[in-house]
Amino acid sequence: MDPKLELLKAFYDGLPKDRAKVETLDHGFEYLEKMLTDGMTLEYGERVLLRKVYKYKFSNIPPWKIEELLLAHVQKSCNVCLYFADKSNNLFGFNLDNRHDIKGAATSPEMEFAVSLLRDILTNTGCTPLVVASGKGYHLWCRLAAPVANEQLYQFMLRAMAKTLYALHQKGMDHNQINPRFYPDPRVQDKISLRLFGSVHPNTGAFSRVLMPEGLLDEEASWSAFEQHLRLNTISEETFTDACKAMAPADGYGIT
Amino acid sequence: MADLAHEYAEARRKGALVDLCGRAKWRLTISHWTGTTRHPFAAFYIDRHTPCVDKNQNGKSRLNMRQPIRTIAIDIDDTLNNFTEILHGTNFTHNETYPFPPALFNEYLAMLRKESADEATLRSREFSFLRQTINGECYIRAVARPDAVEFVQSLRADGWRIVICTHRDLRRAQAPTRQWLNDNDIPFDYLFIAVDKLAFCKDWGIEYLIDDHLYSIRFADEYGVNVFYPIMPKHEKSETRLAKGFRSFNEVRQWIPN
Repeated sequence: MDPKLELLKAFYDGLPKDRAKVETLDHGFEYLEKMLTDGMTLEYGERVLLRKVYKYKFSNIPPWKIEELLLAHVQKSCNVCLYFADKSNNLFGFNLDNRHDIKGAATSPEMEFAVSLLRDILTNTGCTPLVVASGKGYHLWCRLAAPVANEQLYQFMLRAMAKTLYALHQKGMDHNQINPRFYPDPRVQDKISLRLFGSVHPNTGAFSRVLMPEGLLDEEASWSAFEQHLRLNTISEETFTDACKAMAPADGYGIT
Repeated sequence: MADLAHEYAEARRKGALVDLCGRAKWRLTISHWTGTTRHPFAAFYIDRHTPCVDKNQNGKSRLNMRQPIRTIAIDIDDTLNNFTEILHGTNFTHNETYPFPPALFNEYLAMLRKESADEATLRSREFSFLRQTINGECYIRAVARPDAVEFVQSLRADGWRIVICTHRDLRRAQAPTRQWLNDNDIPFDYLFIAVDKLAFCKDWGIEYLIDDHLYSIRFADEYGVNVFYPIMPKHEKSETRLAKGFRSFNEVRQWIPN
């Protein structure tokens, strides 16, 4: 098996594999006919405005097909996005996007500060995140050794985000420059999917690189960092329990 | 092999494989005729008029002319239903759980009805919330046009492939959309979100689109898509070479192949 595929499957072992969103330039009824075999169904498709990119939400995906899709993902011929499990997950993440009228990831000082701060806040509680440049901001992902209830994950992330935005405000920066979201979000559980590590921009082919405190890594170094993150930074149950306590002291949001 | 080649050449001579115009290609795989499951030389990409090869009763291969699958894309809101009428005619009221006061609710509702929100408002969380909530309610309350239902059912009976093509955010509105289509016995094959429906039709080789949107009507000729639209006050003087307005869905029948 392709080592990158193996790594991807290990990292995302907690996410359901029977449904996925696929981002690709492929389209047409022939493509759909080829995909929709063995009971696989298309929930809906989408043509992205101004880019000839298509997104397809598939369900009832047979195991051999998801294997095929994940391989295509590591080979960069499509992006695969998976959905969170309904009740509990061993993965949670923050999407920090630039405000809609700001282009690019590195141009906003608020963004740079927020990413660095959120990384520190999480790391200080023992939840070291993997930070990936998304094109319009950054994604921070934390992987747990065992699944945790979605509501508990959400409350933890809400507090971490509140601390980050408050610190931004205290520094005299405009927190409205950042559009923060975090997942799994129990309100949109089956609607929002997670683009897997190793994705590329569908049009430009640009790889989503890992951001270390020292800077952005290249593609191969990003895969190594991903492997290391899985091996060294998977959060134990005990550590996460302590992190939750540290994140939510008596004042509710832990903003000090 | 010789039999097959002869039949293929004959079919081609008769014009079955014309119109190789580079649109959606249909893959023809000839199998079983040699007793193997797939022959390496037997894959042809043929546009639309796709003959298929199968075995006849005595096990000999023969070519059949498969009918091309006729496809139509159909919008939902204000095409299959009365969305705008519901949006304007329903008395929506502020709910205590909404994350803004009643005054802002009324202001945003007025903007939503007039389509007058500026870009910053459109992207604000509060307006997005209101739009999702109100639109979501309209999706459920909207009434299907009886002539539209009958028309789509007749297309299905005639073997058309039906693609529902909408601006709706199906990430959130997929369930109510499917429910509404099912409740109204509107058959369809696929659901698609497309802001630019003409570009979508062009990408997928769909020649016919039923849509009320002014953009689709105005640029139909440019994209080479036949657009049919239910005439509304906003459509005054909209007709172009490929865009035709109708009062009843029955009129569309004359403009599409039987």
